Amino acid sequence: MEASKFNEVEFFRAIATSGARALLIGRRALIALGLPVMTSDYDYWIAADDAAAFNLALKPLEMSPTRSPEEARQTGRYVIEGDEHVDVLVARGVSTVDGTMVQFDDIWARRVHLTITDDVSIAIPSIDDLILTKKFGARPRDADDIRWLEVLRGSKP
Amino acid sequence: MSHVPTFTDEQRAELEAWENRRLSPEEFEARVAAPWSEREREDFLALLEWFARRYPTAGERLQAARHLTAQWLSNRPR
Repeated sequence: MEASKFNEVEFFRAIATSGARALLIGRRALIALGLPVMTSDYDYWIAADDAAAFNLALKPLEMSPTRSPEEARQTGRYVIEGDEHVDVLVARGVSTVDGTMVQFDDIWARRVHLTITDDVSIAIPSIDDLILTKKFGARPRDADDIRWLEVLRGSKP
Repeated sequence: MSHVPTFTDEQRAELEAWENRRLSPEEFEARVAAPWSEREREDFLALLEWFARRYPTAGERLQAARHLTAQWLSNRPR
């Protein structure tokens, strides 16, 4: 089996320099914050108008979208595949399990930047907003992730 | 001979469907609000402290998680 050519730093760099408003969400964001959990894919929530820029940035890494930006805007989500699997949410707003409407623009305005290397950083939601995004899918592990995020939030000085 | 229990494809699919099921608002809230035992919280805080000390930056944490996940995926029983 051929080894994966995927380079995570280059992946984050491509996104950071794409001009797309893109937030890393899901368990990778939890890991970046300091929670030791496992995941096999990447989850992004991007601005509805930025899908084309996001896709273009990942093309040199041999990663391709499963839907055109127009189709993605209609369905609200799509996947980018290559050596890695990226789930992309493109909805302007998403409802939580308890009916709260969460808008991308609000989450984006409160984003936090984390340093990956000297010249690459990623944008993630604040812990409070990450908790809200965990209420979209409402799976058992999302509830567990919220419990852990709440402890992490409480442990921060 | 390995004595590690394995799953059939059907069992694996059933397990994944169970893990990915959507909870009702009440079920979800109850799971979030389930109380921590003192021991559970202490162990979890110790794990957080270790992870942050061993991998002080976001980049190191993400890199370590990729490595550990790949290791687990290649070693898990099929």
